[in-house]
Amino acid sequence: MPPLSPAQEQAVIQRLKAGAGAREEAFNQVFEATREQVFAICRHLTQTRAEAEDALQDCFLSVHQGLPNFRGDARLSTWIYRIAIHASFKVRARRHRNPAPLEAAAHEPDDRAQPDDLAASRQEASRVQLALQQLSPEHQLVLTLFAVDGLGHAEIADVLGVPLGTVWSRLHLARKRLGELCQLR
Amino acid sequence: MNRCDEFEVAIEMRHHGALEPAVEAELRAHIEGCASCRAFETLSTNLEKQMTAETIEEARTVDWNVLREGIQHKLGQDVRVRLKAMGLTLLFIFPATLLMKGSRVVESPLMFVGTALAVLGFVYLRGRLRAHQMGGYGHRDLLFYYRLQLERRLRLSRMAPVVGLGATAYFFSRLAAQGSSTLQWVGFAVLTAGIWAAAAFNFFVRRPRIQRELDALRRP
Repeated sequence: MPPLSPAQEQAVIQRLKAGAGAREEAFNQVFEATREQVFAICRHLTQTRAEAEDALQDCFLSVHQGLPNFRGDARLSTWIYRIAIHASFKVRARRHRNPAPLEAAAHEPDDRAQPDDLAASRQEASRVQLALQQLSPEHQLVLTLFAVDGLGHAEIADVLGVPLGTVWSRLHLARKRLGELCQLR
Repeated sequence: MNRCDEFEVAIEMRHHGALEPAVEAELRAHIEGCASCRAFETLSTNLEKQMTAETIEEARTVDWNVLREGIQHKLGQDVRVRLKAMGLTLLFIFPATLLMKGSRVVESPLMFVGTALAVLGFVYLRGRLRAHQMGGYGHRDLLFYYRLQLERRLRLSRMAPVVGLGATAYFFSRLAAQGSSTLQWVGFAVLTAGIWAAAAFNFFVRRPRIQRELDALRRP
């Protein structure tokens, strides 16, 4: 489902004031429209698929609780993505004191038989994911947001709360650093 | 930042349709003669494609109905946890009402109800406050204010044993001063146990978790 347009977001905000039934409908609409983007953010910021799903659920739990009080001082999608970022960091902090090694977490077993090129591409993707975990939070975040389908550079600057120039320079440094880490592996 | 660094930033901007035509022409001319920038362009394109493709592919295998049910389950669980938290808090607040009013037990139920409403209101708002704090930074630097918030919570959680000690000393001094009954001393013991349990939870469970979250955000 495509992300909500500003006009659709306004309609959702209006519906929030209409009562509990309409609020539930508004939440469902928001969930359907943003779930893939939220999943992408959570997947890149956490180590495993299970953590990503946990973070996604925590994110939408907070969205459900906070929606009635949403004031509209930022776009609804911006607010949701910020909550997703927080939820992902919280899930990471809840990890046990002796976490599974990053390599084991990245290479989750897949029982399906795969053609060689698909297996190679999955391995490459795991390498990138491992390298991403070693970056600073600023660099991880900017790369994660640029990898989310449908998120523009202006909205990314809004989510991060920094000027557009800062976003571009962080992205450049993050990309270089990620490239260096991938080459080291 | 040297000239190639500036062009590398321009390469990123071009990928996302943010480059002005005049600068784009300059960039194209530079890339033709610079192997390093050509390599960066390839690296940047491939890395972003991989990251985007990986999550799109994974999202196709997600069972959204199961996740939706999980959210509903957590919403229900949240209500149950709030009610339990209210119950436990009242269990420790009720002895305090006896301590405050001495042997005038008649007024204690009124304080009990008043406290119950205050606690219920607090735990109800807590969920909404959490969503506001998580998302409500307006147009300010997300990571900077997130760190500030965590540092503040860490400072408060470190004060938990001090608060516990202070509360225990206060109630003890009140009881010792007014010559209290056995019931009031029992109430004092229950209240003190509750305060110290909350302080221990804050110090040994919440504080390390907040510290881990802050350490992850401070990583260079």
